[in-house]
Amino acid sequence: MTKTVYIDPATRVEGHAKLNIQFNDAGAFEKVEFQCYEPPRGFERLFIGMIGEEVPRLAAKICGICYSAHCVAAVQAIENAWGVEPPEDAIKLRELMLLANLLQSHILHFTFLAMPDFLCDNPQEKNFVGLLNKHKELVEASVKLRAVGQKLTEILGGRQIHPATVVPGGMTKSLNKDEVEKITANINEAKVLVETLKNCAEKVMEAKASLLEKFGKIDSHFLCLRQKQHLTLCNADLELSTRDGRIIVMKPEKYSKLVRERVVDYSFIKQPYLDETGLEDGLIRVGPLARVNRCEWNNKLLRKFDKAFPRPSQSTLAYNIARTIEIEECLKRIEEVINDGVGKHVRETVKPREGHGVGIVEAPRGLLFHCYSTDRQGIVTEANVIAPTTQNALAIEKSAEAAARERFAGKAYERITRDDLDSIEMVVRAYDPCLSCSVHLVRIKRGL
Amino acid sequence: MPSQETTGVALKLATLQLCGCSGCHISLLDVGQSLIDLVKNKQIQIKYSQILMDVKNLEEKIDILLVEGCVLTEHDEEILKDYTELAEKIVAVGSCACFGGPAAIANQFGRADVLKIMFPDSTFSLISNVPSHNLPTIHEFACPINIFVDVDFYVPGCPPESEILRDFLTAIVKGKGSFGYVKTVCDECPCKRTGESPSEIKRIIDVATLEPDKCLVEQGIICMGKMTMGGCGAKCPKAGAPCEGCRGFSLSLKEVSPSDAPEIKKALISSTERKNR
Repeated sequence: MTKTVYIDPATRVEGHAKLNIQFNDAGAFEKVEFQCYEPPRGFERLFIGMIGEEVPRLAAKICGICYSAHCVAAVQAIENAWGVEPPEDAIKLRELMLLANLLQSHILHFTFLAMPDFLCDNPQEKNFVGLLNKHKELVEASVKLRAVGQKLTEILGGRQIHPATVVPGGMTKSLNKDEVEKITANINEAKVLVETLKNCAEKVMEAKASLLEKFGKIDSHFLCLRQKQHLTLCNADLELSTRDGRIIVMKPEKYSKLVRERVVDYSFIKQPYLDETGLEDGLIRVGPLARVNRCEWNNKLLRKFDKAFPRPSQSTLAYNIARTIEIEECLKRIEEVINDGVGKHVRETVKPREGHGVGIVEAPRGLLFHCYSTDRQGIVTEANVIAPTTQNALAIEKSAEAAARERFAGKAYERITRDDLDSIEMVVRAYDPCLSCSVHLVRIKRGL
Repeated sequence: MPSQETTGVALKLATLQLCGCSGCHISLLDVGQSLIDLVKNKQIQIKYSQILMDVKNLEEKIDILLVEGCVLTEHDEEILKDYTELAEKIVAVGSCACFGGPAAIANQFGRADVLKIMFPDSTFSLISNVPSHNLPTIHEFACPINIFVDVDFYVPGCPPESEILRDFLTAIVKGKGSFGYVKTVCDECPCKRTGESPSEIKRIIDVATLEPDKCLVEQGIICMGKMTMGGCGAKCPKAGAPCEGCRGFSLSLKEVSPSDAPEIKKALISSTERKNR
């Protein structure tokens, strides 16, 4: 009889999912199902009938971790539909919001979700309380760093979580002198604190080099926004790097021509894959690894990353290190935008019109698409959200499967240990899946 | 309710996420150093928290259960009831747990309508097009948790500000619980009011230069501050964005009616009249 071992629920991840690890009659490992049982809350339906200017605020509530990404992608899509160009200063403020969001989200994942796997031995201690005993300075630096991100979001968005200031045509508030000074002071403090995280990442990279390189490795295509000299989260072309090394640059709207989606009966997440190569060879990955694979930032940790995981790297666990590189780049970019100066003209009057628009940003976990159609009064008639974790869904399943295959090679079903299961979960965690976001995505084949 | 300060025993706490966005958990984490101190000083002990630790199932009695999210699936309902059995006090954290939240806004359309948009052409089960193999059944209505269990404390907000959660945790450690807010968001809002009524309702996109320090309602923007429970410090109106009422009705309102916001009512009427003319 076939047997299934469940990891239920997957812990230290956002939302509800379990892993079903299946063994055949002979007790040999067969496959893994990544089952998301987070129910769709119905945002796509909620947006229909709303006036366009209310969409960004509600869109933020799709996710309590990457709220700003949803908010900004939504407003871009509405503006795109209405043919609106927001003032340059508003675009800067929105970029800062995306950066602040990435900062808090990445630190949350690195220290609170991921590092316990690498720094704590006892299963009961694999959490931030366990970390506090041995790595107090890491936890305390991370708490302060996250606060830097959250304070910046509060200054820009009015609140720390689910920002309120983003409207079509711009932002409801700009930055005053006091706020700029506060941000500058916070960033200066953060630049010192981030060293603790970098040291930690370097040590882990040295101590667990082979594990990080090999475990859960799969072969996939990567999708991201084209990275400039700095961490680029918005306003850029889409870049596909294929498994065989081709780089294809295109307008982000072309996404719908690239992928097909598969619905599986055991999960509420749909699974997109690259159409050109088909399901078997069409795995796509988005997020920190996709971006870092394609960047040319001047970063010390990146040079070490290159030695450990020659780019383009397919190592799943390298996502964790890529995230640390991005934390530092994120601080640099915030500083750059602030030093460049943000003026007071952040808003323009907007006239709604009938149209269809697409908004694309890099959320902390990867590419995020929002698409809306509105009637001539600006009332939404159609809505579509494609979240990063959805795009990673198939890759998450396959990485867990690769890890399980290695772990269970020649091992009988009866001899599975907690340690085996924890290690498979660690691979899933590398993607920092965000399941509340992921249960969206509709009608890819009808276009964005 | 035992006071940790008198007993000296750490309060056992668990956090449960139902159908929500994790924003309340993130806000809890934003409590930051104060939360770390409560844990370090053994004032609270976190026994279960799916997003933060690896305990797969809560199997012991606890003092406080913080619940985020609404109930939308069979699984949400079951786990909520099971964990409630183990907990001395139940706290509804955030607007989903308190009132239903965004998922409950979709109740008006019917769940089938909502799911049809998600899964238009898949055919997995005989009764619907929704994936169902080993998956929990989705309820027709998304509900606040007090439909299923008795709730001791409500901490509303989308999400509750981290300051509010910090104060709540500090109060709980002292053996005190609830603190309701009688004040409204308007009471806490520094925007200048002159008492004048707007001549019409405007859309926020019509007004490129709203006067930053002036009351939004008086400028013709619908802001829910007057009816909404305060405690948040009126952060949204302060940033130039209308209050969306995420904290629910103020306790000062005995009955909710349009007369609680005469300016909005008057402007709505004059806007409608203008349109009809």
